[in-house]
Amino acid sequence: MPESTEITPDGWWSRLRAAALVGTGRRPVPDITPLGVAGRAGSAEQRALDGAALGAALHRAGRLPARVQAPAAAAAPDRLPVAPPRAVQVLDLLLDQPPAGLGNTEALLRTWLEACAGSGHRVPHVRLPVLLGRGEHATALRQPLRAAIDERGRWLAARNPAWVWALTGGEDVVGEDGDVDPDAWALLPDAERAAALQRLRYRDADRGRELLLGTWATDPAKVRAAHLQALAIGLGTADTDVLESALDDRAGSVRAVAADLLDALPGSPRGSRMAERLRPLLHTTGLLGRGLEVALPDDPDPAAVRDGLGKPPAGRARRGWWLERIVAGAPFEVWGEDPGRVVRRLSQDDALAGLRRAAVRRHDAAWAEALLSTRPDPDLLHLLPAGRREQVVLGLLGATDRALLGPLLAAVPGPWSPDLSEAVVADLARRKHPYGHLDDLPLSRLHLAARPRLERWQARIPESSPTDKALRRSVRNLVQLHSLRETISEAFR
Amino acid sequence: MAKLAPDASSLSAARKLAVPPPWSETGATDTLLWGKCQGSGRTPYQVSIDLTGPAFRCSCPSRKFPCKHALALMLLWVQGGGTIADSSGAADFAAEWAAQRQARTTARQAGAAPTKPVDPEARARRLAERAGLMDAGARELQTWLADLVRGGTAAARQQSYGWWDAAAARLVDAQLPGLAQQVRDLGSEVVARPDWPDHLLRSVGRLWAATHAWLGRDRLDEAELGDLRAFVGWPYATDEIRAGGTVTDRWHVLGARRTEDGRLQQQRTWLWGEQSAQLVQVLDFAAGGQVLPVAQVGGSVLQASMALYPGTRHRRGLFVDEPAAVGRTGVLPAGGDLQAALALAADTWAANPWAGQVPVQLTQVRLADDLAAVDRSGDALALTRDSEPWWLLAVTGGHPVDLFAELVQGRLRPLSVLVDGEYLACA
Repeated sequence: MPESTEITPDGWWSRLRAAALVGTGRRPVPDITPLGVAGRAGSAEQRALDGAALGAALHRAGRLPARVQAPAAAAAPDRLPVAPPRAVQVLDLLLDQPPAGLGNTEALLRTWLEACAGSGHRVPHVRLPVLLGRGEHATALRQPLRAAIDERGRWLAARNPAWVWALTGGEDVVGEDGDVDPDAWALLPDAERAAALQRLRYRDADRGRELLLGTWATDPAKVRAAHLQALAIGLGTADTDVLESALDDRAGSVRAVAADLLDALPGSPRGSRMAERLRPLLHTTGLLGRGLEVALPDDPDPAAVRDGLGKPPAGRARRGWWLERIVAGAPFEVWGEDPGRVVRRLSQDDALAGLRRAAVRRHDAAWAEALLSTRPDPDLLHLLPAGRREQVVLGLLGATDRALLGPLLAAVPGPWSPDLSEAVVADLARRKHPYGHLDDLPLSRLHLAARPRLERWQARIPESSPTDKALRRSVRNLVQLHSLRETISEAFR
Repeated sequence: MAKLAPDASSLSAARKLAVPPPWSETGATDTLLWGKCQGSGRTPYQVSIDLTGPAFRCSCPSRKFPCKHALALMLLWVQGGGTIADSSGAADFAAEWAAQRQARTTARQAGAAPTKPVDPEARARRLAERAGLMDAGARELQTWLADLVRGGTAAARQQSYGWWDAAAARLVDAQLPGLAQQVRDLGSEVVARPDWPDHLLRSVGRLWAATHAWLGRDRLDEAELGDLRAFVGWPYATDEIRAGGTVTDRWHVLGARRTEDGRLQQQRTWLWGEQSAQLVQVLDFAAGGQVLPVAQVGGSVLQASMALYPGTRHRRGLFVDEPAAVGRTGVLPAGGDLQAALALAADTWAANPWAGQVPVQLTQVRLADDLAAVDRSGDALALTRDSEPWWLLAVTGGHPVDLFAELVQGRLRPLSVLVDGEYLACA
């Protein structure tokens, strides 16, 4: 093949590369003189290597930059001032050298971010990538991050698909667009239908019910039960008819769900029927009529069975179970007096259990509070307004089992008042803790004022048994956690 | 503080010890810090810290350096709170050690040789032996390269890593460790890079050029020979360098980079001498459990005397005394755009064909969405794979900034960034 007289450096290099690829033994090395360079005479290998050396130098020195299209927009200026230096120091500590033994530094990071956003500051720019990276997996950090990253952070997040959550407000929200198409809904897989129905009940309870009724006749029992259960969302008197007719359903599971939900609707016909069953069972006793006794009911008639007085669960006595259900279904008015008085006079466990059930289903705070005096029950506690819960818990601390302490305290939203915090610490110091663990308790809600008491407790714990050692460690970690929280809140002042 | 610790477990162990109870006989002066720590042994461990170094000594059997006792003592001292009292006289064991160190340092500085007199004849003989080995190694490499090119680069790529490693081992035996490392790197790059036919041929070309340069070294002047010795891996003795005259100047710290290659850590700091108007690199190494010296803060100005290694651009330097920080620079030395940077790099290579990464100063450069650096005129260069683009984006917000970077293999590695008058070292 005749050599072209016109040869460019690129062309020459391609030929050289090709020759080198298969080996100079097999392909000739291109001549370099057309480029205007005097090459050395020598073997093919030497000429190839000389060419390679020259090519390497040319390539390196002759590089040209690329051209770029329209420039991307720069970030808008931030609106918030950067966090104060001491706060940044603490943040560095939390990110680079998290204090050992505290397990969850995520909670501390969250505290820091909330304090930052709450005091109107933003995170320093250099920390944006690592914080956004943490938010990828630790979803609890996302909400506080959104506020604290300011304009620069949002600009940055817009550039990384993994950080898109930092831009939108709120988590997965119910679809904003209008109605659910009943036909489309009917064709979805079962699990999705139930979920879609639930979401619709949040938005429009009546539409939800209509949707349910649309396919009711043809749905299998399991699906009917699941859909009926969805009526628990946004339950109201408008749902009474559906539930009452469901008491006649073929499937036992559906009837059970209907009876359960009707406990929450004392104004329903079932409620009246239960009232009729309950009234004859109530007797006042004692000289001044102070005691209140509830007789056990007779065997139920078919109407009663229809209303839910069927076979009791294993281990429960029949009549006691039926009494509980009757009490749970009947309106509170049957008892005649204010909740406190009733509960004080009542001593029967089954009746009290029934009242608890009714209170929880009907979200009745007055009865819940009265019933709490008989037994610490986290479910009842959740019914009380947040402000009231602290007071109630203060009274209940001593009577609560260690196992129940966690759920009970979890019902009181943090941060706790100094009084409650000190009472909790004093109470904990008196108890035994299995394996010396305090992890089941939401102690990050303790007020900073309780720290001296924590320290005193820590000092008093003996170092004898492994449990005590573990407890000592737990309390020490707690003190450290609170000391850091104090530092964080002070740093932002 | 955390940078001094050899690893995280030492630091957490040190924190546990950084409380008053195990410590006794502690004290501090301006330059010295000491104490005795009760450990698991019978007698307490004696810990001494020379704050000017920093240098650490502890009588515990730990092989980590600095050990947790030394770290703990530092932590305690930093915390304050009266645990460690200032005192005018140091404890015996600490003073003794400090005196020994001082003696060694003065001896080094005065250039006083160890007590053995140097026998010039033996020295010349050793040098000749070494040169002979290196020459033979260079010739052997030439043969190896020619064989490679005869058989073809495609065939070379099919070889196992052991084949490359064996060639590298022979180079190490021939006292050419720099070339050996090049060969080893090439062995892994040839399977990793999609542009391997070009890359392999060019690297082979460069090695070929190096062997010829070495064999024809009589034609090189001292500076050129200095560049070549750095490339092939024949270091100069530090005594020799110190003896060769020093440059006292105000040095601006432009940027630094730490790398880890197996068990060897390296730190490269770029400095600009104000009066001597030259860019210099200082290299620090740490092997095994040692600790790199604390990096100079980017943007600071140091008053120091530097001894320079032979070379053209950019020379390697060595501090002959402890540099004193005398201020902060608010600006980077005047830089240019990307074309200017590339032209500067070409210039550098023309003077020193063996230079690896070329330092460049760039003005008003932005980071584009595809993570390349773009200058005012719209030219762009990609960043190296080891750069941290998200950090740069976060810190610059897409606004143009002044940048100090290394140009290596056609890509930029930003080392320092000037943002709102603040000098930031790139993460």
